[in-house]
Amino acid sequence: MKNPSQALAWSAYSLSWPALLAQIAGAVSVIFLIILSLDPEVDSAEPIHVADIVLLGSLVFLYSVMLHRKQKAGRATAALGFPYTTEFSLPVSTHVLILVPLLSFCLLTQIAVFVPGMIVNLSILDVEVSIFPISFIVFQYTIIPLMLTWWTQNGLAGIAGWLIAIALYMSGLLIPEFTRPHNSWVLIAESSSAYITSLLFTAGLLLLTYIGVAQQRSGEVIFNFGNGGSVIGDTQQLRNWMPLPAMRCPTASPIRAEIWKERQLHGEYNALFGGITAVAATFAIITIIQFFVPGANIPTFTNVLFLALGMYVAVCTSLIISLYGVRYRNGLASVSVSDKTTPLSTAQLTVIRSSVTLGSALLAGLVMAASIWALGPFLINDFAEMRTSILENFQSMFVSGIAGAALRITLVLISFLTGLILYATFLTWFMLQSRKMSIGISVIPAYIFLVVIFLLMFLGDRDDFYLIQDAVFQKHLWVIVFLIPAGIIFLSQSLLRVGVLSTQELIWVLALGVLVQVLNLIWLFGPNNYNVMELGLSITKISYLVMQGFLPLLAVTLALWTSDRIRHG
Amino acid sequence: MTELVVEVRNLSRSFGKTEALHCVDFQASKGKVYGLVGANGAGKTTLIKHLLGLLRAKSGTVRIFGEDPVRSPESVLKRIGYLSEDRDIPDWMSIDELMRYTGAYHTAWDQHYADELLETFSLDPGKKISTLSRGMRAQVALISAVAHRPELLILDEPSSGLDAVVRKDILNAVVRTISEEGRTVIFSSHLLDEVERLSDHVLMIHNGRVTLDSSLELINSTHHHSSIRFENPQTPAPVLADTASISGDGRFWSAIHQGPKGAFLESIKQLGGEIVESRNATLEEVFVSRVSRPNSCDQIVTENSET
Repeated sequence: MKNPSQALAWSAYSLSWPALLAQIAGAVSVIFLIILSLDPEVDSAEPIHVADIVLLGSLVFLYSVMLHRKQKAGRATAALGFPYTTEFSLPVSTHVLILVPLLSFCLLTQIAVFVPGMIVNLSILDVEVSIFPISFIVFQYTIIPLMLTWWTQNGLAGIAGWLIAIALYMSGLLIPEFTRPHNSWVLIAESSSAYITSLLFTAGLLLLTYIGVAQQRSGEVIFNFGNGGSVIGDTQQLRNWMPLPAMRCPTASPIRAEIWKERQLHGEYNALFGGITAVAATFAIITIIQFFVPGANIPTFTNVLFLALGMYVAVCTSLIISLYGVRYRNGLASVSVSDKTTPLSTAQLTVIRSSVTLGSALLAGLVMAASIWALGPFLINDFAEMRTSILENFQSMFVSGIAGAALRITLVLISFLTGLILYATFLTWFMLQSRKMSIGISVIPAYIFLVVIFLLMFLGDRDDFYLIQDAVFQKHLWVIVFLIPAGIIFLSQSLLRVGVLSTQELIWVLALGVLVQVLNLIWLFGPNNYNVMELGLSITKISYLVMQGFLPLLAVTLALWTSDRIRHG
Repeated sequence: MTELVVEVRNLSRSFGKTEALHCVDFQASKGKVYGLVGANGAGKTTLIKHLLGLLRAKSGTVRIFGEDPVRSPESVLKRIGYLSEDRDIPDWMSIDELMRYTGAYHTAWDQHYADELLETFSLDPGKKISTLSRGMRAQVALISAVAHRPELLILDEPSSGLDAVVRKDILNAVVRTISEEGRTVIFSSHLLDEVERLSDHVLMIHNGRVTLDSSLELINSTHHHSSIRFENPQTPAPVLADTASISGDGRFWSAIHQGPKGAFLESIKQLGGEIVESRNATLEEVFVSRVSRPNSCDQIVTENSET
């Protein structure tokens, strides 16, 4: 390596090439699947959807690499800010320090998008593709999130930056608005000045990033709101801002003390704060869009709902990400030893932590819904119309009586909590970078990819392909049908063997799981409910729907098993 | 028969291809202080993690107070006080909150003792832990580890990175804990003078293997450092009976040897040498001589005469 730039580029590349290869393989299979699952009568080359998925994959790749890099760097501060702090001591100018990794990642995501894109186009589509516009979109999607993450270590400034960027994006100022002819991959921007506008805003952001990183290099902060620390991922700081959450720790029993601790960290005040902040952010984005594009009719209920749901997912993620006590500390994902050595059983700790966290996630949702309901008439154009529609839907739940409505609400609640537990478990294993999980996740798209290639090789006729594809999908559904009970049996045996649950406790857990399944069966087969037998579904789909009733049991056993693995290695 | 607080049998543990512990046997009896010594990465912390149930014994068994710490974390951890190497305590709490929180788990929590230690260390209970210096953090972590009068106190590198004043505070608190009848202390340290000062018993680990498991008294009485002068220069190093290590060149050599001196003296005589000076070896000298010695599972030198 002849100069510092090459050394920095080599460092970025050497850490990210395995992830790049995995991502290309994943992206190819995802594109194949999307194209093949589309109805042949409809636009079969939906580049926007395909590009969205690919870009989502690219961003996941990007952030997993950055996360990895942060771990290597061993930062002592929070998750925000420029990650390459160890390189601050290198004899390199700040602009080289920023531009080399920035452009390396941009290059890698271009490769990750265009390599699979070319494979798909050459093997199936064989249509004209607009290289430059797609390349431009990918470039903007890569460089903007990176700069928004790097420019400041301050949580509030970071949030403000993201809000402004989202508003600019929705106004079409960061990425031009494109039109696309039917059945085509050709993207046409309104004019070439749209590109120039986007680049000007990006250049402005780059300048801000340069100033921010230069400040960080000299140990300063560009905007010193609050105490200058990070808000994201550091929920306990809420206690420093508001006097209410700081309650006195009860000393009467260890369980009450543990509940106190969890409530202090992830309890109702965090939920309230998260819910209100999310609603405020939603309306702030809409206001900013209206400022930049005065004629835009953005505050429709659908837009608000879309934004609010995105915000709610973010709030839920921030609340449940530490459900198992895993957090980033000094740049490494770890569980504090003091948490692990808490003198309570693993089952007790899991129940306490998940109850508080899931309760907070629900509360945050209720706060958001109530806030939008209260503020909607003043801020949303078609709120009255949508409110009527929602109320009608709500009333229709009571058509089959109070018992039927209670059943529906209970099942929705159970499904939501199950989803949250599974999501938290996935996030936790992802944070811990479990080798087995990484292999498992890599194997699934690779397997799908091979199945698709195999079918393509032996079937020339596209119509046949769709028939076979459906048959293959049905057959694979059986795998899920059998995996759910198999998973429950394996996890239950494991929990008994390692002593997380006693036989009696396990019987209780299984009984609750069966109860949920009974509710699910009543819903599926009840004449006044879903009435699955009348829908003419295949036996595979019915089996799949039945097995979904055991998902909550699987989630609970998986949560206990994960807690045990994290605590005892 | 002596009551065993800790009983580790044939414990092995690997992380990938790295063998962190290999066939470790270790027993700790009530009322004694055990010094755990070894180089960086020797396996001390891995052993401590097994004692606390933070790692499941994949091979071999671990029993604390006769129970498996993984299967019964609640009952085992209630009787243990633990100070981790990185003073891992919830830093979002204030000192007072940490004291109340820790006290909730231990019925034997002695608030009077905790207050006394806070005063001794000049710590303000209202202060947030995140604002404390490294030394103050260590003091707070120590108070939360000892104020419930644990039956077993485990300290992982208690003095690591601390100045002399804080080290002294911590050692005094440990001395006070162990002065109470029936308390057992296991502490790992790189500072061998500290181990020598506090321990009744030493467990030396090297590359995951126990290289010495003996009372300090026995180590002192059986390990000697001798300076030897030979008539003729010795090349290569002379081979002497009962010698753990030998260094020097030409006519002048220093040896760490163990056991009765008869065979050792005889082998020196045969090579035309004589002892210039002889004294008891320090723990550091014993350590240096032991860590360079290859061992296998069935060659472990166990000189534990008490359990």
